[in-house]
Amino acid sequence: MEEPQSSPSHADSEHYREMASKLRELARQFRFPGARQELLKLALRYEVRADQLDARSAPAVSDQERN
Amino acid sequence: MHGAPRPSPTRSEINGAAFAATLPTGLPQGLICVAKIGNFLELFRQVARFKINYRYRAVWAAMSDAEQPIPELYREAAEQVRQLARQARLTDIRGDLLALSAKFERLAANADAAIRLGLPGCPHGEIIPPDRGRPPPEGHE
Repeated sequence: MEEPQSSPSHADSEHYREMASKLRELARQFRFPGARQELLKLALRYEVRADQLDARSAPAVSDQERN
Repeated sequence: MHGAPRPSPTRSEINGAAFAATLPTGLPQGLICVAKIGNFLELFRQVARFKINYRYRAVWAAMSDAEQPIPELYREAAEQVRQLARQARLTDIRGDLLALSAKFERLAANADAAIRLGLPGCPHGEIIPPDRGRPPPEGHE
């Protein structure tokens, strides 16, 4: 299968960050603390996952840059 | 009840009035009586409906404008999270968001039930756990 131009894990990590940011924005609109807390918890999880994906793809990217 | 807005006439009320107006004067008393009973039942139904509306409005009116009822807050949250789920292109994100939306819907239903049952602390209280109000299983303290 042909490799896509941009790394899929990088695109995924960007998407996780984008969704985390939207969740935080949504959480700011909610006045009820229970719902707000749930959204913030999920946003944090997505940010952690994005960092993990970036960390995993970082060596591969630097290898490509070296070649 | 002074100042209460009179509910708009329903289709059956209009039909009943129209029907009564079209009755010829020479009709048997029995038929006129049936039409009158129909109108009376419609009036009774409207009064009952007004009483129900009034009662529920009173529950919400007890809160300030800034304080939205908990079921409404959760339903609103569920809808917004569902909308966000539609924007997700990764299945796990979409799954998470749809699950969260479903959870908010369940909490809204629980809060509704608590209000209906008149549990203390509702609708002003905290999140209602799903097991509250359920009797303990037999054999347990």
